[in-house]
Amino acid sequence: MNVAAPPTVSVSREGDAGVVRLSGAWRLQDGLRPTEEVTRALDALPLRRLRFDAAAVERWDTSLVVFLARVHDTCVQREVGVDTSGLPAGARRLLELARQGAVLGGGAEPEPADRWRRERRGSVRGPDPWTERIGWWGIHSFQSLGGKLEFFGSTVQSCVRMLLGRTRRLRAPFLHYLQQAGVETLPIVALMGFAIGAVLALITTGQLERLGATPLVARIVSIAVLREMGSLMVGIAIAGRLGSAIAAEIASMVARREVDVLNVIGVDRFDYLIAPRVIALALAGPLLVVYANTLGLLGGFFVGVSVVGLPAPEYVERTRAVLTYKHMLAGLIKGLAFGVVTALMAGYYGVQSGRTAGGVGRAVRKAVVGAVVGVVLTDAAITLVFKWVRL
Amino acid sequence: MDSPARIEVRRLTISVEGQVVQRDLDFEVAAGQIFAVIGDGGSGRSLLLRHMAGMQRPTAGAVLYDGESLWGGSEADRERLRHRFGILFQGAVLIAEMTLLENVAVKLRLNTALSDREADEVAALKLAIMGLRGHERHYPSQVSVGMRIRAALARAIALDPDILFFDDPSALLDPLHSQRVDDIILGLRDATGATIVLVSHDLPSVFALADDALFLDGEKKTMIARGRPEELRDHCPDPKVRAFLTRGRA
Repeated sequence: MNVAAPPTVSVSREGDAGVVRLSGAWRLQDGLRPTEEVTRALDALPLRRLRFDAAAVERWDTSLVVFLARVHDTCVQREVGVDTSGLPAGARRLLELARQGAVLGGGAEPEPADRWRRERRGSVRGPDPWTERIGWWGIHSFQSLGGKLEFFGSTVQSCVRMLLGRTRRLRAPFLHYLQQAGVETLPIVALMGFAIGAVLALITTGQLERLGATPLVARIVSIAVLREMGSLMVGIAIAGRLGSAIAAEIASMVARREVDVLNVIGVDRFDYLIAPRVIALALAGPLLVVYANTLGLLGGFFVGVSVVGLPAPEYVERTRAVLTYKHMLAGLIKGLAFGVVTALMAGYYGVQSGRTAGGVGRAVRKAVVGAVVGVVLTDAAITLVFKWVRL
Repeated sequence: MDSPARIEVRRLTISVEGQVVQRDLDFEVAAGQIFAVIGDGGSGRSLLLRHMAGMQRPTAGAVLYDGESLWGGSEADRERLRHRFGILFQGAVLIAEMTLLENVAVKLRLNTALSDREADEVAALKLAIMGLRGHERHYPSQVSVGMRIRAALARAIALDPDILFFDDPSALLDPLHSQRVDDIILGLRDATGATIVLVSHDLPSVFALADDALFLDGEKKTMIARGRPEELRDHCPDPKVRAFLTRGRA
């Protein structure tokens, strides 16, 4: 294999003109070549003109044009004439275009026709034979399953890269996502948490009064909030509020083709769009559960003391008795899982939305439904696992 | 054809959500050629471009670049091949939060060993080639549609690709600016020798630019004509193609 010679520059004098001899392979991947030799020659010699000899240039790209543009600017500053006839024709043409720098304008024009909508209605294609439709349906279903698995695998890979700090240089606004998932969700979680605790206390009191066991209200409310209701309520809040927001954001980027742009400029869409949101929700989920649990316990306390009439010290003591790490850990694990499930659902349906305005709405609907169902099913699965491992 | 085939499309089938859009596409694009993909609305022109640009995996068939398949190799091979491509999307999509310079420079920063300053210098040169000197610090929302298209062209050529894919570059432009963009595309091809695949419904641009053209039929779901646009207009046996290229006057 031939190894390309590195680019070289030498300057000599012929009468009152300087000759810049260029050779080797000029490649952008090897970096830009400084113009020191030329500048030094212009400093040392009183030249009236500068010409180029590029006969020994093996190959060239923009790095040569950048070099020539720099030399040209230097010559213009020193009022030295430049003769570009010895340059490759293509490089000369690009240099001329760059020097012209003409400013063109343009105006707003009508939107292009919505081809996809017509395609979906089938107005531009005839019907396929039914056997072919079944075949393509089968292929599509198989590819769809593969696509979901690929999405999940790529997200896991990307999250690992992000946690190890190995994502590429274009940083996603991770803190913004964390704030969106955490701080901005606090009010709704506070309201729902307090209300859930209060309602639980009211319902259980009604049943326990018949058995004469109203002091157990504190215990039942606390366990229910810590193990189940607090985390489930956070899961639903995240799925509704953040699932829709994430899906809409990503789907809008897909519709505007910004995701395509990310791909072609070399940014992994999973690194930039999906992984930061998954990690943000994975962090925010457990924190929101702690917050919701606290408010839920307060709601139960409020009803237990003010409505049921239990003594406050007794209610607090019975609550403290069930505040074990097992119950708290169960809620935290669920909060983390619900955050991840929501981000995955929203990310997947956002990316799959298609490039139409209607695609954004469909993505949001699918993401919210998928996230809510995913949260409930995940809750059931985790509860079964906890029962199995006695957590 | 005098030049060797840079791109070969072999028995390509394109489908969307289980429905075939185009099938059995078989053609090649010669090195250094401007190749136009034309056809009626919904015939899958942009989809074909996305498949040729390696952005979508074919349902069946293959696209070869100098005999090498994008999807047949490893991910590293795909990355290497994709570095040879420059793509202009329909509507000239730029990232709204970045200036024109950043939109071009980010591609250089992420894909070369250039320092940020060097990447900015190369990006400024690319913008100057597109006639955008002095607009480097403007955001896409601050410039006209025509300037956004030229900035997107600058980004497409940032890495000196030898294969360029342009999806309707003049779709949003008036005739005068459309002609200026045509001049830039011709200038690029002449200066760099790049192979250009162009999807367009702008007939003056097709006639001005294309050395070769392919007509996709949305009803028959396959290509029905191939040749120089002028030859297709004057001598194509298919009346639909002639009607398309003469705006229904043939």
